[in-house]
Amino acid sequence: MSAADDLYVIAIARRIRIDDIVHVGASQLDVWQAAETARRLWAPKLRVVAAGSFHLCGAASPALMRSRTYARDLISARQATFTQSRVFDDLKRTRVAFAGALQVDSRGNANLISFTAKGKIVRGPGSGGLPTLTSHADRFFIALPRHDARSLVAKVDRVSVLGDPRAREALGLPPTSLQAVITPLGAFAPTSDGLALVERTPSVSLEDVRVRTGFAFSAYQDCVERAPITKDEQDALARVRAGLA
Amino acid sequence: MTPHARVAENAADALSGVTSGMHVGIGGALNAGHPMALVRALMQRDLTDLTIVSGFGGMEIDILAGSGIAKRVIAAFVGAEGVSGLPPLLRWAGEEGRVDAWDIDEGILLTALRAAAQKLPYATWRCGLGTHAANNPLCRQMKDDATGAHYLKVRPLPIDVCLYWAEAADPLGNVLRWGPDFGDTGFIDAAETRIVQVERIVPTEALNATPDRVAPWQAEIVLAAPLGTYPFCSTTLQDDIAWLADYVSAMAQLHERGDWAAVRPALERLLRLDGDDDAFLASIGIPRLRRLMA
Repeated sequence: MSAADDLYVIAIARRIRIDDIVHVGASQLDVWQAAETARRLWAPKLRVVAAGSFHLCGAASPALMRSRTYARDLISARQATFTQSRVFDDLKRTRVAFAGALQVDSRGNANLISFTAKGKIVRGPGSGGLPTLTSHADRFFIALPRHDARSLVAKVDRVSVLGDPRAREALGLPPTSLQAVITPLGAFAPTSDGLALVERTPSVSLEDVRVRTGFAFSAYQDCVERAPITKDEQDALARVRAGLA
Repeated sequence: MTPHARVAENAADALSGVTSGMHVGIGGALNAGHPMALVRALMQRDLTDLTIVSGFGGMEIDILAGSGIAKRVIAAFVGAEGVSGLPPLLRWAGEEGRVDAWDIDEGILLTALRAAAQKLPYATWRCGLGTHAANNPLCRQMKDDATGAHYLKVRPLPIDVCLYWAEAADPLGNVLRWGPDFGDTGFIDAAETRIVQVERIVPTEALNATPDRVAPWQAEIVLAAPLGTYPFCSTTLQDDIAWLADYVSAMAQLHERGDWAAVRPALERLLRLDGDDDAFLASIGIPRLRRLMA
């Protein structure tokens, strides 16, 4: 893992609040590491749902955290039983999700379904439960582990996650649920005029971000540099990756 | 009157009622709990035009997309955890129109299954509005006259046969679940026929020790297939990440060559479709299986 990768995970962790219930979806090891890092630093009673299993208040062995949310030993060590078929029956208490994406657009919409490249349709893994998970959520994020013009586009080919505040409002959904689009180079926040850059990674210029983003964006006057990773954060992340408490 | 369950002699016998054109629900999620003994047997039947339905599918859905027996795949997600790369055959078949791959949200899918289970003309759902995950023939966006609320009218998704895995069952179809239901319950409730693949068949008395894990009279057909989720995890096995990675790599190479005609023969070799489950597991080898059982 590079220093940039570490800072990206920490940037996700910093968005996690002490009273959150964080949803770790399929293949979201970075989100999982971020949640466990937050648990070790400022959210000791963080509630985490790793797809097939509930792990309450950090009592699960850290060594069980694997690259798979549906690993046998992890499921066996669950502390409460997850019923996937009823996962969306309680929309009044939705969890905080960090949606992944094939594409994210200038309005804050994300696509996990498919896109067209060189005249061919390229399929993704599918939307999973994100359309439902993000519809009535108080807060959700889009976490994109790469930052390039192919992934950050003017308009997504298909919408899996509706982040656009105006479109959400028109459909009676909470308009401000999307909090940020987090990438290794920075973070964007939704505005009525589209995504605006609110955070930039140290050593990356605004021009670098513009070149590597496939849509025009405004930069907040108070766009800040992403704070460098602290020693406590680095140590906590290292312990998470080593499977240590 | 609901008939009692029967114990199948083998996987082919369990699937004897499956015919071309049926909607087949497949249980399990991602790398866990897929009834691979039944999936392999399904691929050995002379079937066509199946609609394969899955919630959070693993590579078994990808395999079925390339098997030649499916005309449509309906799944919220298809992928393998711990293995890089998108589902190669579903991606390829979808790109070339060989399989009709629907986009659907998991919440909408569960709603469609609930409508089928409850014999409703439609059920309603307030999520997924404005997304392409609601852009399928089951969904229609509506507005409530009284409140002005936007919602989806979701038509039922019929399931003719549900194939799923569980830890154990008795001969009467009482099923011992592991814990997380993998989303299977939606399929089980919607299905006309439920076929459960288990690690072992036990006397009913053996279920008394864990009544909270027992789903009563849940399956019409019970099949014993120990280790039969391989390469996916179960109570007995860990998932075989190396096998899944090799599979994704092999199919991606065929995709690069554009050699669709080679897909089915490759699947037949990989999954030993010329033999039963013992033949497949023998090809994996006892040392490898023992490591996964540890």
